[in-house]
Amino acid sequence: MELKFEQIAGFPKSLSETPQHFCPGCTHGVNTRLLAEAIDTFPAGEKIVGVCGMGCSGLLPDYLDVKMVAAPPGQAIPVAVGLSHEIGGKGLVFAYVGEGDLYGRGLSALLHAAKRGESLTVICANNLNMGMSGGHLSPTTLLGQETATTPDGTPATKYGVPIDFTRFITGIPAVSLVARFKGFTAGEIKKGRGYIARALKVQKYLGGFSFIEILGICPTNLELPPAEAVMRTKTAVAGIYPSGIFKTPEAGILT
Amino acid sequence: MEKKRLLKGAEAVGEAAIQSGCGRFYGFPVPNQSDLMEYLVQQERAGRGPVVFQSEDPLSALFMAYGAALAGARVLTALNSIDLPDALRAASYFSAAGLPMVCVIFTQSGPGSGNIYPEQSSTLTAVYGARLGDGFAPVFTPSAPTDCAAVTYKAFKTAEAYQIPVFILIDAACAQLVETVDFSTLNIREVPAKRVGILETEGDAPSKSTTLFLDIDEMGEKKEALREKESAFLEKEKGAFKVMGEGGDAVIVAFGIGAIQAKRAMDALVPEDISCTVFEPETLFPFPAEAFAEALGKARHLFIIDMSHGQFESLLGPHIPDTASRHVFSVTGGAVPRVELLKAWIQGELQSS
Repeated sequence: MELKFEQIAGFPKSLSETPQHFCPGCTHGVNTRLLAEAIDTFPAGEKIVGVCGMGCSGLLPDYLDVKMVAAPPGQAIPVAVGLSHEIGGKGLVFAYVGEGDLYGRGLSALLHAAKRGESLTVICANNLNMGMSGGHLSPTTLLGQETATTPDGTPATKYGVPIDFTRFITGIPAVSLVARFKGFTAGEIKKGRGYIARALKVQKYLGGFSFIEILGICPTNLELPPAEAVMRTKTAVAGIYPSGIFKTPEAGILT
Repeated sequence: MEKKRLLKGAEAVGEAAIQSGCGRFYGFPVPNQSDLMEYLVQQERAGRGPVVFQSEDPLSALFMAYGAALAGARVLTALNSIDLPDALRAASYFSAAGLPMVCVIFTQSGPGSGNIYPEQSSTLTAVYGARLGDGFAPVFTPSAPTDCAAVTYKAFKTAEAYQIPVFILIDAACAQLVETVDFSTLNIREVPAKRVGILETEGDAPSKSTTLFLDIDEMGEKKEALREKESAFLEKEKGAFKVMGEGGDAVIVAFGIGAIQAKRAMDALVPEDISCTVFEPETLFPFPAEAFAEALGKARHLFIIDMSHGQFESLLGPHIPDTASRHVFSVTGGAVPRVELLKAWIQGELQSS
């Protein structure tokens, strides 16, 4: 009897074989693979150009086998907008940016691009700290979280209560699709791949603005083994940064 | 389109940009820049010229232009001198990525918010600031609207030829000055493009654009390539200039509105039997040193019109021989050097020396 095998997983075509610089347990590696898998859902000839911001995401051009642009800190969205304007309907443009960059000095450009409903897919890698700079306070750092600049825990008195930028973007009328998932739990990783692919399809077929936030862990800066960083982060974000699809082009705001 | 057009300096830049084949303009409303953007919007409505986009802030405008340039567009941006640091930051990235851009900087009085009137106190920042990280950007300085148009064409050609950012410094007076620009004499042509956008690159052509190089050797190689590009640029480009008059009593050096007033002062001094030469650099980087030395040979007295606290004089300094008798007329705060004052100054200085 002849055995027939079907390949159900493998090395994504759009993922480069370059060894990645990410720390052990870091979710950027997972995110990069999910991006590659989402890109692979398109036919080989699909023209796609990605933009990354500054920080741990800044070396993404080395890891994805698609056209890539590394943007200056805070400028990933303007660069992606300029690319999208010129490319028009001839290709897809996505931006992959850390939250320290995107919600910090990049926030104004992000909100304005969302307000205009630019033809763009924006993916925010939110690992709750400025990872590459050495684990400093970021715009989404949780109350009490220890960072290099708040070693005794982040106080509300000095830095305020964290806000959910993803929810904020959901409320912008011209935005087509908004979702968030944890890049460190198996079930959500599987869903997340679908979210990214769907976002790119919304851009391709509707020319819309999609926003996906991927919650991540930063074991190195949390000074925890990866498994413990997962447990700690999962508990800490519960009720503050919920997962799910918040908005779709068909149904509008869902929750 | 009429060949002769009555235009402001800022509008002449826009018209020349259209004729040079500019594809996209990104800007943010600030004094003088708005005149350029509004002109381009009107032309866009009439079905010609670049696609105009008003960004949320000047820095975004510069980096939207960066993205569009990467995708193959010929880009123009413009801002006011109070936002010049943003342009320098962007120029550093355009230099690193080897991308062409023309960026117009309308100069006003400062420091701080200052006022919207003309000053040339951004000169050194523009000339030296583009060296951030050893990048480089030529700096053009036109005066009357016809020159604004001619220089804009040169700027697009230079940006394309060397794949670099190019600055055009225009003071607020020249931006608002109106004259009839005869485009039939300027011979502006669409500048042929030397490259394709990132989506069109194939084969061995780079499909990645980054300015981040963590490897020291790789960064060193990038810098060396940029140094060679700058050497080749300086080897060929000796700076643009205009020489008016050929008088032997005094050489007046000035740019922008200063040069226009210098020319008028030169004419006003003719009845007084004082003959002058006006030297107007049209590029501050590269500075037309050889032509300036030749002009200086005409007279012992050098009159510098400096619309800043010594910035233009400091830029000229290395090119002035010790034998020259140097006189400086400084006017700042947004004032334009008045012809009668310039005339009296030159007359007085020559009499007392």
